Formats: sequence, structure tokens, C-alpha cells
Amino acid sequence: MMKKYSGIFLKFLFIINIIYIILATIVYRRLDIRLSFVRLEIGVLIISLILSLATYIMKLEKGNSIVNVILGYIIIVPSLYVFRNNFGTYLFRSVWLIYILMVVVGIIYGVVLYVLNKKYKDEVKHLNELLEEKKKQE
Amino acid sequence: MKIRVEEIEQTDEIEVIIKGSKDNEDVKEIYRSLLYFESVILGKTNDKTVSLPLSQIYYFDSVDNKTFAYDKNTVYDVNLKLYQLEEKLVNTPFIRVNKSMIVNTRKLKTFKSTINGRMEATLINGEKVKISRSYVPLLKEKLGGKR
Repeated sequence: MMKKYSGIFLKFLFIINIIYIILATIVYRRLDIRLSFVRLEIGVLIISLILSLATYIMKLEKGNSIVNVILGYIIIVPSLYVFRNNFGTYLFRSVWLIYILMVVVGIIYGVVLYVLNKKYKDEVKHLNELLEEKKKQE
Repeated sequence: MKIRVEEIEQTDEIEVIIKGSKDNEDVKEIYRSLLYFESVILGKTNDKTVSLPLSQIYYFDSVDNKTFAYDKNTVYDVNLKLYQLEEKLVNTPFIRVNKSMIVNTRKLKTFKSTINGRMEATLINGEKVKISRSYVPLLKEKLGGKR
């Protein structure tokens, strides 16, 4: 379990670090403000932990798959507050921007699920065809 | 292919002779099928040891380092590890579908995918079995498709 979780965590840590570097550079270039490295890195760690937990729950074999998917999204939400806390008013000039971000993340989450599902449905269709052929042969 | 049944009275033993090249794929497939009908696994149920024909077994699974075989209604305790079974059943319709399970592909009914990208198979007795992504290419090959 820990091995699987660590694998997902490391991937997220890498991706979130890159996103944070880009955003911190944008803030520095546009507003000439240097954000605290330690503060940002703690944020990256927390967000990576949350996102890897969400992915782990979403992919969990146990339990109802729909419940797992919904739980996955609910778990992601607190990471947005961490994100806002890190960049504050430099990125979030209005309070409602966090809600827009929630919707955007929801849409991305939905798209990822849709793509994943479509890919696997094709695979399942192929396996069912093979099974049918095998039964006919017998 | 010619199929001929020679009737011999007063005998319970069946003898099958396959005439053809050993490298022929059809010959290999027939040999594998016959092996499947012929092979048995020893299993324990209610403190009795019974020999289980492979053709009756739906799947094997491993729980807490113990291996169990399942037929239509009964669970048998098998004295082999899952990897040993995997080696033993290499030329039969059995295949590993996840870390703890080996399934008889002849007992599979349908495949289904869930919303979170998991795959499961329904057996002909209605039981559901989780299928790990990493075993799908081998499963495809076993069912006669390409990896």
C-alpha cells in the first residue's frame, strides 16, 4: 500500500513543484515580490499529499466505484485552500476566484475520468469480443 | 482435421492419440485442451482430501498465505502457493488476473469496466473478479488476441 502511495506522491511532488516554480516566477516578474521558498515548499508537500491520497482513493478496488470517485474530488478541495494560502492576493485578487478554481478542477477531474473510462471501455469491448470468439470455437 | 472415435467395449479408460506435427499450433491447442481435462489438483474440504478436476475449478485465490480453490459451490484448501499453481497451470486456460487470484478463462462470462478505471470480470456462476491492468495483456493473449 505504502509503495503504491509513495509512487503517486512522487509524481505529484514533481508536477506541483514545476507548477509552483512557474507561478512564483510569474509573481516575481509581474509584481516584483519574492515568495518564501520554505512556505511554498511546505505548500507543495501538503498539496502533493492531498492529491496522491485523492488519486489513491479514486483508484481503490474496494468499495463502490462511484463513491470512490466522489470522495476523490472532495479530498482535492482542501488543496485549493492551501494553494490560495500560498499565493494569497497575488493570484487570488477576488474571494470568488477560489470557487471558479474548484469548478475548473472539477471539470479537469471529470475530463480525466472520461478519457480514462473511454480507453478502458475499448479494452473491455475487445476482451469481450475475444471471449465470444473463444466460446464459438469451443 | 479428421476426428474418429473408435469404440472399445468394456473399458473405462479413454486413450487419445493426436497424429500430426509437434510444432503445429492446432496440435498444441488440442494437447493443451486435453491436458486441462486430464489434470487434477488436490484440495481439502471438511478434513477430506479430494482430487479436483481442473475443468470444474472456477478460480484460485490466496488469503493470508493460504490458497483456496473454488468450484461452483465449494471452497477447497489447496496445499500450493499461488506462484506454484501458476507454473503448474501454464498450459491450461488458467491465468493470473491480479496479485491474489488465478482464474479459469473458460468460466468467464463478461468483462466490465467501472467509472474509476477498474476492470472486473463476471464468472458464469455470477461471481465478480477484479482484474488488474498489468495482467490484461497476458489475458488478451490467453484469449487468443494480441498483447
